[in-house]
Amino acid sequence: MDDITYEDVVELLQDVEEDIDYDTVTDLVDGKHLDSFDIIAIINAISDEFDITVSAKDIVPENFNSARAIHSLVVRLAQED
Amino acid sequence: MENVLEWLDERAQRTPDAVACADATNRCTFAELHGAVRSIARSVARQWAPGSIVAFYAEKSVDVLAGMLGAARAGCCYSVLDVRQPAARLHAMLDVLQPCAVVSDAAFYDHAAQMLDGTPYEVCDIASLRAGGQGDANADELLEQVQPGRGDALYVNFTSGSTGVPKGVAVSHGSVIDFISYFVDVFGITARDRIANQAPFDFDVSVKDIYGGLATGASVHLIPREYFSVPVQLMDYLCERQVTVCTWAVSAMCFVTTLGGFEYRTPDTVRLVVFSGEVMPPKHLRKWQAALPDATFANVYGPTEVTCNCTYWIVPAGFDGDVLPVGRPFAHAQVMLLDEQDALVTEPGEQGQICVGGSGVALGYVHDPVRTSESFTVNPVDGTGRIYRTGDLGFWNEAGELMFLGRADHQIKHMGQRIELGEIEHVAQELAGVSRAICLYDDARKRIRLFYTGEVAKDDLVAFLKDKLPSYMVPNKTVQLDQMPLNKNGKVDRSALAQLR
Repeated sequence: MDDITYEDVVELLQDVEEDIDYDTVTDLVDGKHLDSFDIIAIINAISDEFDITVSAKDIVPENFNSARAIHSLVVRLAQED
Repeated sequence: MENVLEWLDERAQRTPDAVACADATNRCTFAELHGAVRSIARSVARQWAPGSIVAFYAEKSVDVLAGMLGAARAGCCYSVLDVRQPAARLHAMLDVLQPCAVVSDAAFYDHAAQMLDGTPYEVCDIASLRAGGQGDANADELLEQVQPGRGDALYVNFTSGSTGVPKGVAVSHGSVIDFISYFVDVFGITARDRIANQAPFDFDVSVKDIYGGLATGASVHLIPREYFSVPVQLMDYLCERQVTVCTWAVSAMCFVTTLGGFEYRTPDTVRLVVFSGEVMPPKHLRKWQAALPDATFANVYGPTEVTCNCTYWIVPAGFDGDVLPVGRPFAHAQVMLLDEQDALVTEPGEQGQICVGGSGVALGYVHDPVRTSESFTVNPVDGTGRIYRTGDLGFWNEAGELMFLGRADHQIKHMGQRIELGEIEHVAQELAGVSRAICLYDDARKRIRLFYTGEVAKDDLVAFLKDKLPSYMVPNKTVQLDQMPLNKNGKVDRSALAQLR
């Protein structure tokens, strides 16, 4: 599989919630921009689009507070696979 | 039994030192809860007349629970507001309630004050209500006089309204007493149970936890909302508290399975899982059954207007079917299917509107006699008693169990919330420059889509909707059209809209 880019991740996030500026917001979870339903939608999308399973241990606010953090998580999990 | 507080009185006598309620940081015994409720009730009774509505603006906690019960003990009715709602919608709810006070706690006091700016209401702090009533024995005589009765309203919970104004459903002490008595009996809930409360207090699923605990002496463990974004935290809490009963929304159960909660840790003390709110996806149920093979699972059904639930169905061991019945009525409820001529439908497989009678039927929509009389009517079959017309369609299966089919109108369930698409359309059309707005729900992808015509820019409309609607009602996609597709009758063609991407 090709490398997953930051832009791929932003595109995925915009499909879940289109009106967030993912380039600047760094408190997506802590600032309550995303709720538990959005997290579910993101985990499902990561699984569908990138064929990556995110385990419960990785679903913590620090991994989901920004598009950059989500991108790093996805890249790390893709490498571990 | 006249009111729900009698359960608390009895528990404070019989098991004073048992834990009644705990949240993430705080806990109280039945004796402590009884004392706190009494102090708050004295303050409330001195300031406001019985029958007044006390609004609460805070996330759930042991203290907020004491406040709600304290208001009830003073003969008032409580209504918990969802703190995530935008100010405009909260103001609409306050207009409906016309509360005597808005009570908050230390964490939400400033938010509450800000939200109430420009309204006639002031914030009142739970801690000062409690302090004000401590040791004030003079008020005890007053408390005797304001004891609520079975027919008095206990709480008001809000639900989406298709005309753009949320509806406040008022439920009496008697309805809660009758429903909860059968509920704890059917599911064998006892003082040994530890109930894991998922639902926020503005949702009536929480009524089963709060009063199920008070009625039996079980302890109630409140799970903070944010734990439902962090599965590890949620599973640790369930395990550490050794919970035995989960009466949860289907969406919350799917959260655990989707995010791999059971792969991390299994709360194997759970013996009973009761779910409601949406149709349970079989794939998720099977994961729960696999994780908790000895637990009992039950599907329960009913809208807020019938006091939590009117039917239940216990999932048989080894069940692996795809369609779950909603089952048979609780003993206090009459459940019937009516056709369009209001005739009783009894033939298995034949479709009708689900209508509910019995002592669970709510008092009505608060301060709204018109919508109350539309939905709450005299039972047309025998001409006696009141029924609530749910707007849900169903049929009886061969075994005599009720099967849920769907809605007769544009009401949907999205992210665990009951939503009238008409409310979203109505709010969108309030913005000058929107000439027509139509909302559709893509059930497969769980997305709300809004189509509109008019010169307003999409970003402006989305910003307007965010100001007026809670986040779960803001459309996931908003699309501007030059004109609405019409069918041959000149009405908006919803199926043509559904084809648009």
